[in-house]
This record gives sequence, structure tokens and C-alpha cells, in this order.
Amino acid sequence: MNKERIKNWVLVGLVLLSFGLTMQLWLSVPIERIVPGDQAFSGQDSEEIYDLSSFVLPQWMVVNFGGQSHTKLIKDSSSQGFFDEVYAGISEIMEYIFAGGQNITFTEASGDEWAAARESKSIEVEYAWTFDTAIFSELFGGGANRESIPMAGIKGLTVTLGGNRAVYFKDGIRDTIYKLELPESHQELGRLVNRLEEQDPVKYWTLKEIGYSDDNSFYVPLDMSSFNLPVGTAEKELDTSAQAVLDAQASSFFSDMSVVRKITEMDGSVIYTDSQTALLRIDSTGFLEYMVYSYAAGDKNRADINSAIEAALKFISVHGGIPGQLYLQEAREVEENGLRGHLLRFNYAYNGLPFFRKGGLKSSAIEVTVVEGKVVRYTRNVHHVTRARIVQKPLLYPVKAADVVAEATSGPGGTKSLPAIKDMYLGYCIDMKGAKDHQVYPVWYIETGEGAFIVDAYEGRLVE
Amino acid sequence: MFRKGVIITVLILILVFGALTPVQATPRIVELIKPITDIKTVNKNMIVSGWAEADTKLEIRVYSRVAKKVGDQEVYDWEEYVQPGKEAELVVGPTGFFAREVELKNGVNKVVIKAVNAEGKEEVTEGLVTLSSKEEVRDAVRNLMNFNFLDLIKEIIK
Repeated sequence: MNKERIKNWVLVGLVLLSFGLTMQLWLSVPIERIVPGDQAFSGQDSEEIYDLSSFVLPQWMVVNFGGQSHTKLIKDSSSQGFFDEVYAGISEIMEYIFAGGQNITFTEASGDEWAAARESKSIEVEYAWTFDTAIFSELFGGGANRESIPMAGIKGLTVTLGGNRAVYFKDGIRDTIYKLELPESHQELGRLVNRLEEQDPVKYWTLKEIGYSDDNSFYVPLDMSSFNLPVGTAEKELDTSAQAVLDAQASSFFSDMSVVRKITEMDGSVIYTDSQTALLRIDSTGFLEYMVYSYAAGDKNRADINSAIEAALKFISVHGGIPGQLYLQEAREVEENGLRGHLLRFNYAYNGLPFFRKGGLKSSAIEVTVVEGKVVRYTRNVHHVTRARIVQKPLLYPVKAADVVAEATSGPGGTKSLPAIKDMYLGYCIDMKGAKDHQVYPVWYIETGEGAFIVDAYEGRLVE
Repeated sequence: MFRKGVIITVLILILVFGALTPVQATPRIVELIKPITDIKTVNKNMIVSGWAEADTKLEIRVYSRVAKKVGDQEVYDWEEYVQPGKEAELVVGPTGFFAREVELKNGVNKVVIKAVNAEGKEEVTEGLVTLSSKEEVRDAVRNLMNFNFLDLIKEIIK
């Protein structure tokens, strides 16, 4: 009897195994794609459940201790704790504004008033882009539309922590500063700032304070020994030499792979198309581009920015996964085939610093165009850092980085004029040269009137 | 008589115009954006920035005033405050602009900038910077507020 039972179980096992093997024989998609678990993308940290607040984050926050004493907080390992705590306090103020039931009255503030607020004990929050106020309403107010909020788009805000309890919003669309008096000061934020000051963090300076120019819109550090940024190697998330991986990736874009044609071009790019609805192209660098032929079947009720972001994040999650430290870099309205849509650009960070791709400085890691709730274009070029090592030398001083740009723009010989810098911050660059193990190193990103430059922050050479 | 008058007038004119004409100062090797003399601050970190010709070698050092006992007497001396992790030397780049952050010690500090240009000419600029804590400044302001000028005047009249 027992023997019979064992035989039955063995038989069931063999039948199941034969099913699995038959499926592998007949489908071009490998079984690991069908069985959930490890995805075709190596190293991805995709999550089905996502929270908008994880993607719409400040590019940086600056804590002003009063006068010419400031420090910058980014979401890196050294200051993440403070970043999170300070941002939690800022979020509470935003919730009061966007979700609170109280009557709030904004007034227009002068530039001098705003400058005075920044010089006092305060916290500045800066976003990478002037995001539509509707995004903040969704983020902090659950989508409630408060008519008393005059901002069309928010580029940043300043919360004062001294006697003058107010929030100043920088509306990047109307180029106006709006002020809101707060009923009481945020004591927890005040305590946090005091605690941070006691720890003597790295000081940041405006170009005006340094004497470089009259610009005081951003901050740079001058104590470069405080930074300990590693260099490393990264690999593309898609192994383009493995056809099975590419086929598996394609299968997530097309519902019926039996009608999909696969074309391999001379340069190694692979194109998948069903000739009816969409085209997917993956080149040898791992750059993926998906385009739909028809914009029909969209939902006119989902033409707003928040629906577009939601659709984009769902799409990214399903098609490659959401990379770690992904954030919304830009959200702009576009017109596609006469229809109103949104172009959403996402980038990701390494140790809190944004990634730049050599040769693709203007492109983002992930770009999604959404028209009426439907993704009509999707590009993706993501790398994962696999190895990192500490470098035993200080980073290049920002003035030295400006010298590199000056030499590059005005040619050899003679005295160079100072580049008119509009923005400057540290980031990471991926050199996509070679098939595998791409170099990753810290860079200075410098935006001038003549364009954007990146300078190797260890070697002092112009990268792009 | 007339000749004497002419000579005197000419001499006076020379004197007057000589005084009015600005003296052609020797150009300095380093032009600081903000002077570093007699500064009082509560910020532990200070910027030293300015202009110099490309390839000028600079050394920016901070000395703090320390009290030493010599016999029965207490004398003051300068002791270099080696900036943790910061190099004192720098070479001015092609734009001619330079900027360095220096850290101060509580009390009186002497900031010394030694510059040597491409021709080997040397120039030393120095200044005293006093760092006070916020509490010290707060106490000083409080004392000033409590100070009764009326009492002082009464005292003087007596």
C-alpha cells in the first residue's frame, strides 16, 4: 500500500516535470520568466506597491543656521537620518497647507523678504523641477483642491524657524514668491536644526558668499576633505548578449509573442514589432525604447498629471522594475498627435547623488510619455553599481572645477574668464565605454550660460 | 620781485597737484574680495577668496593665540592651527580666482596669506579674526541692554 502511494507521488512529479520541460521546448520565453521570482533584469529591486512620496523628493535641502552658515542635506548615507527627519517636519507643514481644514491666506512676498528669510534660521527645500501644484496636492493633501493656494507650480520653499514663522513658496511658473504665515513655529524642526548645528556639519556657501559672482541660488562646499565618495564599476541591467533575456524582456511588452517579428540590425540592435500596435528596440548598450503606433484607447478622464505619474510608475514597475533611488526629475506637458500628454523623466541616484551618462547628459535614465493614461513611449537605460572602492584623495574644489570648464570653453593660453555658473552640484558619471564593467566616478555637474558640463571630481578632467 | 612770485606760485601749484594726483600704488599679488583685518565673527568657518595671477602659489595658514607662562609672566604666542584634512597650499588656476575655507579657533586668530607669483615675487597678507561663541555675543548684547546710561551720566556729574 505504502509502495503504491510512493509510486503515485513519483508519477505526479514526473507529469509536472514533463509539463515544465515541454513549455520550455515550445515557448521562446524561458521558464524563469513565467515562474515568478528572479527577473530577467539582474539586480533590480522592483516593488509592486509604490508610494508617490518616494519619487517626488527634494533635490536637496539646505539648513540655514543664520547668517553665512549653511549645510546641505541630501539623501546619502552620511546625512540620510537628518534628511528624513527634516523632510518629515517639512511634510507636516505641507500637509497643514494642502490638507488642513483651516483658512489660509497667501500674500505675495518681495525678493528682499525672501532673501531675509533665507539668511535667518530656516530650511530651504529645492526640487529638481517646477512641479505642478497638483502633484503636491496629491502628495500632501490626498488630491484635495484648495482654491486658496495660488501657486501654479512649486520649485522650492523656505520655512523660517525664528520669530517670523512663515513658509515662502517659489512659484517657478509665475516667477513669484508666495508667503504664508504659520500659526505656530515648528518646534521639532527648530530642535533638529540645533542638533545638526551642534554636530558641526560640512558648511556650504553661495557663490555670492565666496565672491565668485552675485548668484545666491545654490550652495557649494569648500571643505572637500569631508567627502568620501567611492569610485566603482557598473553593469547594464540588460545582458544584451543573451538573446533569451531580450526575448523575455520583449514578452512583457507584447501580449501575444506569436505575432511578434524579431529583427537584428547590423549594429547589434534588436527590434521586436507586431506591426500593428508597438515597436520595441534594444541596442547593444542596453538602451531600450518602446513606442506605440496608435494612441487610441486612452482614457480622457485620466489626462491629468497625477494619473500620468501613476500610469508611468505602474508601467516602469512592470517593464523592468523600479530601480533603487529612482526619483521624478522632470514632468512637463507635451502634445502628441494632437493629444495632450505628459513627458515624465526619471533619474536615479547612487549614495544620494544623481547619475549622469557620458554621451547622454541630456537624457534621463527612464523617460515615459503618457497620453490620456496610456504609455505611448518608454525609454530606459539603467545600470547597477556592482563594485565600489574608496579613493584616498580629496575631491576637486568647485573653483578648480570651474577652472577646468573655463579652459575647455576658451581654449589654451591667455587669461580665462570665470564661467557664469547657474547651478553646480556633485553627481556620478557612468562611462558607457566597453561592453561590461563600466566605470563609475564622482563628477561635478556645472551648468553655465554656454551649456552643461561634467568634470571628473577626482582627476579634474572635463568628461563632457 | 615778480620772478620770486612766479616761482612761489609754480611751487605751490606743484605741491597742490602733487597732493591731488593719486600715488601709483604697486599692484598687489593677491587682491582679496573681503579684507581679513580686524574681523569679529561667530562663524567657525571663514572664506578667504580673491584674485591673483594664474600660477601664483598661495599658502593660507591660521594661527591661534595661546597664552604661555614665561617665569611668572603670562605671554601670548601664535600657534599654527593645522586645518584638519585641508591643504594650506594652492596654485591659482587660469581664471585667477581662488577660494578657500579656513576653520577658526575660539578667541583671536591670525590668518596669514603668503603669495609667490610666477616671477618669484613674495607678498604676505595677514589679519586678526576673533571668533566668539553665540553665547558670548548674546551675553555681551544682554549686558549692553542692561547698561544704564543715565546712571553713568549721574556718576560723571558727581
